[in-house]
Amino acid sequence: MLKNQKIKNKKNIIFVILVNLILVIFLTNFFLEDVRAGGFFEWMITTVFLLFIAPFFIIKNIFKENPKEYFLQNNLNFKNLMTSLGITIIFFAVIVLFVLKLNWQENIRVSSWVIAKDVKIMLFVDLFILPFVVFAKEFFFRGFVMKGLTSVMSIFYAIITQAFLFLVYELGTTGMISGKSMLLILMPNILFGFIAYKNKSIFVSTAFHWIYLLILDIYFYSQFTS
Amino acid sequence: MKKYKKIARICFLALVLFLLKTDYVFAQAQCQVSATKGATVNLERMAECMEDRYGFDKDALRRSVKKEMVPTVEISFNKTNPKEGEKVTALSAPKGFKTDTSNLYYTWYIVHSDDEGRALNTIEAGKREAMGILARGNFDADLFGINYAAIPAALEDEDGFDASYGGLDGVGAKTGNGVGFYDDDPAVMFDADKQIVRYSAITRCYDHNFGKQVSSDNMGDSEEDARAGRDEIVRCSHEFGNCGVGRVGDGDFGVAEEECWGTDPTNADTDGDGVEDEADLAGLNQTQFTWIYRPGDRVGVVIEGTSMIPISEGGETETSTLTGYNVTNPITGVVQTFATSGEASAFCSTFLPDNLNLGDSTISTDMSLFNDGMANYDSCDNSIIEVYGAGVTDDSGELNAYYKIMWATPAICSTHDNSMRLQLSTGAPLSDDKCEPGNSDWGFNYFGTIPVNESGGTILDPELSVIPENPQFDAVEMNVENKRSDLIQINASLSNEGVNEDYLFYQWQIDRCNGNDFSDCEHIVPNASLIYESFTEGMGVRELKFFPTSAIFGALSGLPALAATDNKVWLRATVIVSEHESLAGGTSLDVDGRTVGAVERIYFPVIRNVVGMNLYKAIRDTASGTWRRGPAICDTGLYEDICPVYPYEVLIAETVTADGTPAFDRYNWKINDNSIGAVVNCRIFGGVGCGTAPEEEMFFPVTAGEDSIMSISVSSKRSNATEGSADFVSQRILTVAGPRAVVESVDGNAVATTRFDGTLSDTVYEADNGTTVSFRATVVPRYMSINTDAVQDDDEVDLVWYINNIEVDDDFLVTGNNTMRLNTVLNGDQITFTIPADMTIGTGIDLKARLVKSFSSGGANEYVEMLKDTWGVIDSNTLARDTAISVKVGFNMALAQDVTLKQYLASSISNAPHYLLFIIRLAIAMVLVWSVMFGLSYAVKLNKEL
Repeated sequence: MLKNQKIKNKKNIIFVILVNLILVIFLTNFFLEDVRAGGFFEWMITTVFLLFIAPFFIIKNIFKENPKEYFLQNNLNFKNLMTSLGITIIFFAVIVLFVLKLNWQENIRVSSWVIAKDVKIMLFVDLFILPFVVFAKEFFFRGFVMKGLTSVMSIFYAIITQAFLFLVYELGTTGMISGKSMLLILMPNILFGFIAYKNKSIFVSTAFHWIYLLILDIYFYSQFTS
Repeated sequence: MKKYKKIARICFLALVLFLLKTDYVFAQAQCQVSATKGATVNLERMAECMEDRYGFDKDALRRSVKKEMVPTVEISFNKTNPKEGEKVTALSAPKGFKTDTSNLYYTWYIVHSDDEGRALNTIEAGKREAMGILARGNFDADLFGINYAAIPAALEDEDGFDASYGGLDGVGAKTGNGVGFYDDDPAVMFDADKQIVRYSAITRCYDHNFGKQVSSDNMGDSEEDARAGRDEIVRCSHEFGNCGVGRVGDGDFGVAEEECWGTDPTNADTDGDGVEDEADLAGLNQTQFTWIYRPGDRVGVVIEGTSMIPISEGGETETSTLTGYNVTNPITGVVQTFATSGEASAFCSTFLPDNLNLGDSTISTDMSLFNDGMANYDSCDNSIIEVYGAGVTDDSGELNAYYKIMWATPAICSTHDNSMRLQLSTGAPLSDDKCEPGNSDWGFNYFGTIPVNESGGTILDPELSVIPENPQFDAVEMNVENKRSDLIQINASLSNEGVNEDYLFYQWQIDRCNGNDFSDCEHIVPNASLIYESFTEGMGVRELKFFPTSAIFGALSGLPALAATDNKVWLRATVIVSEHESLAGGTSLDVDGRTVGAVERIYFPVIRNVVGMNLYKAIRDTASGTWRRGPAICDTGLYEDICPVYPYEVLIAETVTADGTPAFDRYNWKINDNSIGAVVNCRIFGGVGCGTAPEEEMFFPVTAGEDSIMSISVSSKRSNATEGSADFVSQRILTVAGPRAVVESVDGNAVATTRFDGTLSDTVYEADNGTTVSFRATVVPRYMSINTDAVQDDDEVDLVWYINNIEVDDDFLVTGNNTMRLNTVLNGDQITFTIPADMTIGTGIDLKARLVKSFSSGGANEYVEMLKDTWGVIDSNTLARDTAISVKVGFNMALAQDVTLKQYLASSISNAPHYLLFIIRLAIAMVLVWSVMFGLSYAVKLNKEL
């Protein structure tokens, strides 16, 4: 009986998480106008509130759990860190070859501040705005969502599922994109899910995610200005 | 001691030698004058002794032939070879005058002559012209709005000048009965030994006989030759000119005379030289004369003054005797004459009151009688005057020392001195130059003139300059006149030190002169006849810029239109420079009442250029394979002024005439001032311009580099005799640059930004987020077009678009749109794309249009081969030129189109609490999230069993 209750309770947690994700997508659209008008701070604040503070509050006050258990711990294992770094390098090497071979680089979404070719704005956003945004997204999808999913499914499916939910979030907030672009969104998020799980910390995946976006911006900026 | 002995011996020897001169020892006894203390010495006797002993008397100096310093004058010029219309100054150098040069009267005269050296005006007219210039300076009654008839008496100046004879300090001219005699003639001589001329004979005015050159005409005329070096008594008369009203130098210079001479009736010193107007006309202190030079001008001057030659005139005394006394009867008023003063006094005493006892008590009753009597006596006594008989003249008096009044001119009348003389068109000499054929004038001064061909000093003077030196009016393009005409620029420069020209007031005026008569110029109405590119008056307006128009050759008020075949007109630019706003009416005076300012003029010709030049493209005749003249280019709009061409382009230039002249027989084509020859490669070029072409057409390649200026000009001459002297220069300016695109917004969604200077930018546009914008590329030069097929023709260019430096090709249109979310579409010469909705304000997208010009190659007459075979051009590379713009995200289009104060306030109100509203919305969102989550957790009983 208790076991059934716990299972049901876990399913309810998944339900709450999914409802929360839908609610976040819904509410984010109310702030897109501010973001598209060049509101980098609005973008950061909205993302942090909806993807970090709100789930943090749910974990602590509704789930009655310790948020640190959602991969917020920072006692990192060096071996796992090196493993993650190695996998990331291999992964990106494969991805780069894959993209270049198929000439898919045009399917990677380029940030508006890179299109604008304004290096000052690009550096400001990448160094001071992007880390908080990436951290909030990592906490929501790799912490809040993926940790919740692991209660009802294996870690493998949890990683895959959170990547798809991330894609749903992107589609829900920025509109439809091509299949190739969807694939190029899914693959890095699977990697980041693995890294977060491997290190039991979203700080590592946040760092890798941030560096990934940073490299993309620099690459396209160099393309536009060459 | 030895030294003193030597000196003593020398003195002794000198004494012995002196004593051996016996003439001094034995003087004539009758001239020995001895006197003791207190005795009177007879000076007259002493003088006689001196005369007898030394051989001279008191009149010896008078009889001696003196080395006379006869007044003469030389003229020099400040410019040796002046140009027509240039200002020239003649300088006088008087000699032999006792009068200071500033007190002499300089009567200048100018004689204009034609190409054959024949005088065009008389001496009298020349005096009138020169005197007017000297008195007026640059004053112009019409320019200053002077109405002589309406000058109030209160404003009339006092500028009369009574010219005394012999210069300003000359006195003593008189009438005399010896006019025409030499002063050594016995008829006028009073004392031949003493060389004293009779006082009553002389006038004190003389003409010096310089003698005449010996020739067969006067050989052996001893009487005439003997008079050389003598002075002839002449009637005293000034040599001033007259204008027909009044007389110069009479001290009366009214408004009528002012009008006659053109001087300012409200300004005593019209030309501001410190000499009042009538004195100016009399030539007082006018040591130099400045005028506008015309070829053939000759100048002379006659100077009046007191010479250094004294007059030996006998003094004249007049004596008279007292004949009686006149007394006026106080009662009857009758004048009576008495022989002595006593008789006159006795007569007056009869009016005294008689038998009056001043002690009588009744005297009071008789006081009225007493008073009447005393009054009559006083009146009578006061009326006594002396009466003298007629005077007796005695011309044997003492010598009256004075100096001869004389005139100096730069020439002496002689049969052999025709080099300085002028003849009229009839061949006869000038009638009023005082050098009539015959003996009467030979040897004397006459009104000679000298041409401007001598070097002189430099006169510093404010001047105007004209750029270009020989401006042209383009008569070819009448409908777009001024486009190719020269922009005439007149600059005023002041040599004054310490004057800030930026704070001076300049007033400009352009006049047209009648032919080459610089004294007959009429004002050109600005708006009708000239197109000004600068202000015509104002502070610091040191430049006047204008385009000539056809109207300057037409009829003006007071001037007829130029003949159709006359292509040269003289313009006169006048500038009034003053420290005040205007000199009109002479009202701009300083605290001392002097006019503050200067008037300067310059004369310059404007040529009506009837030769124009058209440009054509070179096209290849597909049938013959040769190159020939194609369509005209740069024949409308701004391209007429500056024609854009590109490197290695081959053009044809052809002359055209505006007056129907069929052809010119002489051409000189130049590119960048370097003469070029005709194309002789007839294998490639057909038709005119090939081989023995008449050179009215010229093929030429554009070989200048990118972004350079190139000019092609042609100098031509009329083939007919009447216009043979007219040189015409026609020029076209070419800007060399590769074909370039002008990128413009098509739909107006992208709006050109405004530069700091208020002009619209052609490189930076602004558009709103999410806006679809379209741009079109237009080719410059416009006579080219964008290639739309696989083969680029010679007048076509290829267009390539770039977005953020990435070429917009087929791949970009498929994949690039996904990357940058621009939805780019190409349509001919247009490109359309959408600004991403999330682009930051202030950032933007770079758009670039690249035009590529390739030159056809292959075959005998293809473009590259044609350039190489004809002109040796081997580096004709493909040309590519970019035009880049940027589209920034900057503003709300709706607000930008109609920004009002209300909208501005509304925008401020809506934006100011933006973050506050944002936070409130975010807080509501958070509350909504937590509320939903709490509600959901309770609904699913999430923690009930936990």
